Amino acid sequence: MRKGGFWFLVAFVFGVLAFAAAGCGGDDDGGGGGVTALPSASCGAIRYEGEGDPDYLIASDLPLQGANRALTTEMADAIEFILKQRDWKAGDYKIGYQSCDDSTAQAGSWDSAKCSSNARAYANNEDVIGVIGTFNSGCAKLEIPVNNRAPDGPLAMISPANTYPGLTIGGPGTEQGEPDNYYPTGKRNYARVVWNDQFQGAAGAQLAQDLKLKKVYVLTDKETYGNGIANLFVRYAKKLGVQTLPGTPQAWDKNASSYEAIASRIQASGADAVFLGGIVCNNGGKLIKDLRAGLGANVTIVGPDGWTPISATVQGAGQAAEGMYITQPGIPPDRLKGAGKKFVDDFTAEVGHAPDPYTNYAAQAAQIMLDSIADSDGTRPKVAEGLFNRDVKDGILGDFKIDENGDTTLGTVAVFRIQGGKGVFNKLITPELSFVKG
Amino acid sequence: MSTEASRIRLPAAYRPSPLAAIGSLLVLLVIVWLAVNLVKEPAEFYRLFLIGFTNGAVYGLVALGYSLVYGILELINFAHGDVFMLGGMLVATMVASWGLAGAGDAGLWFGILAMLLIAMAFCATINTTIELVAYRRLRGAPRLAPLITAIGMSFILQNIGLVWKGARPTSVDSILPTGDVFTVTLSGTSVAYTWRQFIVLLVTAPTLLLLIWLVQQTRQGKAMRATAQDQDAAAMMGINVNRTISFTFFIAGSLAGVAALLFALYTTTVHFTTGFRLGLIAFTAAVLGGIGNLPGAVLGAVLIGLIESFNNGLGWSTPGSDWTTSIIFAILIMILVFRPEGLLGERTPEGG
Repeated sequence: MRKGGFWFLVAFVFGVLAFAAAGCGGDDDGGGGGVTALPSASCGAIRYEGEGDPDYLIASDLPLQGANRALTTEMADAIEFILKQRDWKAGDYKIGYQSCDDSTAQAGSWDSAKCSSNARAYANNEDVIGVIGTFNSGCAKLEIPVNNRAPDGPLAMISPANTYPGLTIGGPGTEQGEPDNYYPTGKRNYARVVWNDQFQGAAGAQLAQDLKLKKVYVLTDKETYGNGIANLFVRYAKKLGVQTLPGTPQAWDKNASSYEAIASRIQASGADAVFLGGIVCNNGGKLIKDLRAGLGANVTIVGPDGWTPISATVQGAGQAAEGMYITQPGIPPDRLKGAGKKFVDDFTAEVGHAPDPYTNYAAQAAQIMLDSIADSDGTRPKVAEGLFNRDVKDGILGDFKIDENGDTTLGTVAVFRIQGGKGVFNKLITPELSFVKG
Repeated sequence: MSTEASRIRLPAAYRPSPLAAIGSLLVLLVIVWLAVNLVKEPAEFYRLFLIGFTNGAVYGLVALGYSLVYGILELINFAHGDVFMLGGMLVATMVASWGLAGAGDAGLWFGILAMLLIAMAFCATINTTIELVAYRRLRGAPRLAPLITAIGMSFILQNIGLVWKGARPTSVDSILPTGDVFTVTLSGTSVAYTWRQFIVLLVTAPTLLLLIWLVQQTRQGKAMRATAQDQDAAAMMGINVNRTISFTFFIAGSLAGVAALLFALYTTTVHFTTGFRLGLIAFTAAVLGGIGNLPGAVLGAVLIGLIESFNNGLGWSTPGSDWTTSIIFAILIMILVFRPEGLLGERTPEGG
């Protein structure tokens, strides 16, 4: 064999394997009770403690492995907690619950093959009446259209955590054709209880203005969420007169072994702050370490909710994370009132520690899903329709509405600052609707 | 080896002059780009040079392991990067459990030396075992067979790393001294050469020299070169071929251990995918320098470190970090297509 030929073969084989390494999901059938269980490869056993057998199943779709594991298992526990509170019933219907995983151990976060196969499993299992998920916007992009085309009509989905705007609306920070391309049947089946990133981007920009930052250097991990929020931050910062660099947000490669050169670039640019549009799982700890080492203590680092749980950021970056600001949509658990406060107290008593903000969102999403099932005639399209234009009074998150697009009208973003290795509550920012949409 | 001749004297058809012209133009453009940046922001340029040089030196240690094994067996040991990764995880564990972050000077240096020896022994053992289990029996098989087992080993080791430390990157306490060796002030900005960076060089340079001495001057090195040239003839001359190859893997593994220590202490983050990506970069470096050629591997690695750092950090007309990976692997492709023997040509151990 000629050596050149051999080299090409080497490069080819290696390239193919590099892509194969991304990992694949599996399918198999389980069984149980009056309903058909979702495949055990992705989903836990059916949870049901009510009378007889359940009539329907709801599933949650969260990345249960990797950096967010502690948070997502707590969210699944909260959904089960809500079902238990309601005696495993939504109106007249008896509801079982399965917690499904859209991540792989290799990826350490959501995996596109797993998301797609999960969505097919939900859509094709006629006992599944609703899905609570997803956690990651990129995964939602894959799951919504599959569930939208489900055989028995659009299958309802409600997300406790997707903040990418394009899933429900067009406009700033979205791509051409969004959101209609996610709804091939023309009927909507997806809502969320968390405010989208337009508001978080606006709140980030307001924070930058409040902190009197002059030049903010914007980095992105180039994923759906990270790129979206980075561009939105740039947009709103410009409106408020905060200068941003460079022209388009610069990428950080999650596989790189060093970000010192990027830190050097930022230092040379004279920026007094850095906005990190992305998630902590993408080598965020190392990024913050290198930025701190290169830029010193006086440069402010701001990150969106991709840097939560804050403990993961602290664990990855150690001392370097000190002073970093992190925004998170919604109200911190200890500031909730009424039903929210009661849920936090009850859930704390049950699991022994205070829930994460996203856990409250999961519980709220579960409540809305169950209410919508209770109000329906037990068919998928009715449950999906029921998610929209819904008034929530004294819900876990307070009083709010889910509008005709499936977005919430509850618009508060909490700001935390890392001090002494902990996320310390800093303030609440509620951007004006006219500022965000204008 | 019948293929050697064709590689040394490439027919003219392999190097058509228009391509050579395009290549020269490309190199010229890079030089102009670097020169303009140097003039515009000298301090920035110098700082990036130090960053790139240091990272390149770490890549170089990993690249040496690829090159050494390739020189002897013509096998690309794709598991090498993952052996390095496991070594890094061991160092991370030792740093955490020995409490080195708070140790005094003497304790710290003793600790680092002890970790170096343990990491070297650990990686050398893994590497030798891999050779024994996965490669030895395939020595007579078609070349694709050991290549595939190498990739298989790579995935196995990655999964061991995943089980060991989990999916989250492991943060290693920063224990290297923080002071500056010297500071240069260029156009008003002072740039420090830190001890952390200097220590990397302090380890890499002697290691390379020692390795070259080992291969070229010692009896064992002679046996390695003889084995590389012709295994059968070497065996007839009384060289224990199996032991020589084992020894080569042992040395390559020790190098991975040295690299692992430096990487863990210098970059302070280890992840189970670290070896895969860094292994690819080191492999590219080895090919760039001329695989099988030891100084070439380090030269290639330093060049790649510099390309990375300049592209991530320079200000004038720079593609930026969005393109770094593409650029590095474009270089790999161009080298394979236009100059498969690498920058330093054919001075492999088998060539003398």
